[in-house]
Amino acid sequence: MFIKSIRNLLGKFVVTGTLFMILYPLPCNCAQWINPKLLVRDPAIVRLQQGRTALTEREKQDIHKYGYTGLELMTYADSNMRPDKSWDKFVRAAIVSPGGHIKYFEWLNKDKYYYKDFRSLLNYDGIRPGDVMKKFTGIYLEPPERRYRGYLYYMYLTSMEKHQKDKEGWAWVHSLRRYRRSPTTPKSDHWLASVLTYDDYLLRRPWEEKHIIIGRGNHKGNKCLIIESRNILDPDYYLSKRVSWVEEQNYLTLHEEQFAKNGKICLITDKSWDQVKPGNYWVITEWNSVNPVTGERIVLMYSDFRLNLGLKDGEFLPAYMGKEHIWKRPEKPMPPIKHVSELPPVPVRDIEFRDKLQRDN
Amino acid sequence: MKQIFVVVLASLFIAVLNNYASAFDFASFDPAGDLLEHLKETVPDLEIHGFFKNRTDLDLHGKDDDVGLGHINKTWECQMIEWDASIEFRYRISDHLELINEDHFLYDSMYDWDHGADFPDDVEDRLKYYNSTKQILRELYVNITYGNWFFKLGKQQVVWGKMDGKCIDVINPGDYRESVNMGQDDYEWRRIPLWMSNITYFWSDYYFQFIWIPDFEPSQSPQRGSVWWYPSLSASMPHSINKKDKPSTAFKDNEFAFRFNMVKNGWDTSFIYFYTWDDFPTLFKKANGFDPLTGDPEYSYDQEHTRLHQFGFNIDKGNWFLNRNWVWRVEFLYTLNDYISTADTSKSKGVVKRNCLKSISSIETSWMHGEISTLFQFAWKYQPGYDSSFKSLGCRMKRFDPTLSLSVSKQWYNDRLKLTTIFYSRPGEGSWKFKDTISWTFSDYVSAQIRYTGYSGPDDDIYGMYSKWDNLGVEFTYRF
Repeated sequence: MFIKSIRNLLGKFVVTGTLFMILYPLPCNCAQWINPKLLVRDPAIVRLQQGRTALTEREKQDIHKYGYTGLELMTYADSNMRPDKSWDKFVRAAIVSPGGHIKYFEWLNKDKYYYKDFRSLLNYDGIRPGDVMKKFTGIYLEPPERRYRGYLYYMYLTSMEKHQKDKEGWAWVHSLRRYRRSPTTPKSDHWLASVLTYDDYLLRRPWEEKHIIIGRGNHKGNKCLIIESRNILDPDYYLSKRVSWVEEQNYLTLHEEQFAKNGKICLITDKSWDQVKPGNYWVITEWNSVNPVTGERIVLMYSDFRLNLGLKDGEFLPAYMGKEHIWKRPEKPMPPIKHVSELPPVPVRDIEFRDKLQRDN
Repeated sequence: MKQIFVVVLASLFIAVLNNYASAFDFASFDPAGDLLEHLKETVPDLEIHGFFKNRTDLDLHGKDDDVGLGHINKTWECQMIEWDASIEFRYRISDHLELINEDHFLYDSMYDWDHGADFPDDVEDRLKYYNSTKQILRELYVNITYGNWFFKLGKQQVVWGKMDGKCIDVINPGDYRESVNMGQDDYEWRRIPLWMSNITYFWSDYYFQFIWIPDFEPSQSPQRGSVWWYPSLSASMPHSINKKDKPSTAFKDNEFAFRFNMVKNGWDTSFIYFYTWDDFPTLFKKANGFDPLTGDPEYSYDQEHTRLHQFGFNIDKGNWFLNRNWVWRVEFLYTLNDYISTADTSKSKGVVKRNCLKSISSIETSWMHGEISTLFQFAWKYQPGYDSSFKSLGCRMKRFDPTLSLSVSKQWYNDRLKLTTIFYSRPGEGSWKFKDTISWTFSDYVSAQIRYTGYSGPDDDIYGMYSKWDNLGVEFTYRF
């Protein structure tokens, strides 16, 4: 009798314990990076986005040869540009003029996302084109003339039909003690008066270009698929094409070459990535771009990432910038970069691949 | 004096050329940098920043007699040789608590170096340098962040307007020693900070702000007899003025302000109310009998600050049009119980009480990959209950008083070289002001600019009265 009661009790524990383990939701701080290919489950969602109904012949060939379409790969790569969770980070930027003059910037940034995950951007689950997709704000720490200047942007989800209004922004200027809405600039405008455009840094979406996979390659020991992309949205786009080296396992863009309208190379970029805890999200730690014609450069260095911050909407109101609140300090403060010798090496063109491509053609 | 100025200007050009040829490494010119880095390592929660600046304005017309309706004698060649220094301390006590102090030092060496200039003693006493703690201790406040609440307590400046110029930017008084020559960038140092409690509550897409100001400081008009004294008025004191005490610090004499703001679907909208004192005193005329010799009536004036109610509204939005983003803004301010000077002799006190409506609207966009910015602004003031006897600065006031302005700026060489042109026009008066600025950034720490400001129009207009005050300015700044 006694043994039977014990057995019943144990049985109840096992059943309730198992149910508890199955049903109890994971705490939010256990959110993990998920490989974008696994996250979408059905690759057709990515391959046929923006209302497309069929694959092109080239895409069918690419699937046959590489297992992906170009759009699919670039969408996976694009999804890694954002962790889709609220996060903050320090950014350091050194902009080098052709004469070697360095303009140094440092700022603290935080982002809040208004969608579930990147899959929901494709199937419009809880978000529609025109809705706020992300808000981000920050405060400048350097140079002295920009110190305590704040910025705030609302990014809107764009689509093939609704693509003109992509963002709006406000700036807080410490010297004027006021915030003001700034006219947002077209995608091809230079970001931070650097060699990068707003499209490069912030705005470009995978469906705005036609992508084809042009081969396999290697970048600093990482196996990559190489994709050629041409803008289909603007017939007068400032680039003729971009070529991206996307790492095959996690879909990280490691290297990119851009070509001007005249077909000549105009920008070379290397990106370094790392996984941050908790959640092992992939983040860019260094973005190194050069215009090989003029020698102008920008090097962006990111550090002190924190994810899943639970940021409030009120923190993304224009007037909030007036607090001039530096909400965290870098773990290892770094002095401003004053000389080119303190920068990482200049990115170089992948000559090997170019030659191989020329031979194949 | 002019020779000195030409030498300074030539040195600036040589410095720019040298810099561009990399003959001198300006990027490393940061004498305070090492000390501050060391201090940052020693006291990581303390930040010290500041600047040192010289601003010299040369009067392009030089000395002149009997200028304007006020028959001003211009005795100066320079309008200012101002040396400014500022130091700011920010001490972070915790993540939610920060103490900020900003001190400002000013010395205008024109009063010592322009030997031919002749100013009344009180002008030199007030404008030559900051000589009181009140002026030097510019800002001192504590920032407290607690959940959705934000408290900013202490001596500070609060800016509500978003326009170039003032409409709903009504909280702090100003030091208008330079009259119309003052630019938008000068407000930071010409606005007079006040002791106040500034409390904001943020939630969702809204915030509510409450300001309680127990402190009062009057705005400072250009000093009578100084460089920028209104040429439409005589430089000598025509009547005796009895200055009454400024409002006390008693609770009933305090100022209170409220602001509600929301950002909905890209519309940024605010409503404001300010229960305040007029920062400019009103002169109430008082009859003092008759002159025994001429038999003319004699007057004196009581200078007094009066209570005002101010209601305001502002809205702004960005729209895509012609393949670019246009930002438009509108601000309105309605003031109740303002006093206006009148020539109507039936008004025994020489003033009448009226309400007043003011507005500024603007449209802004950028061109050529963001390198050219343009801002068009339309400001106007409407006087309900207008009478042709109303006067302002000794001149006839207008019922509807519009001012148009267009600002264009262009940047080159990674934003190091910048040209800004601002043109102001008062269409009814045929008067204008023109400001052209070329600035060059030597490094993240050192910059310089050359500026031309010109005025034109009739003598009884706010721009026209300064038509012999055109000036050429040079400015050097070192920031750390």
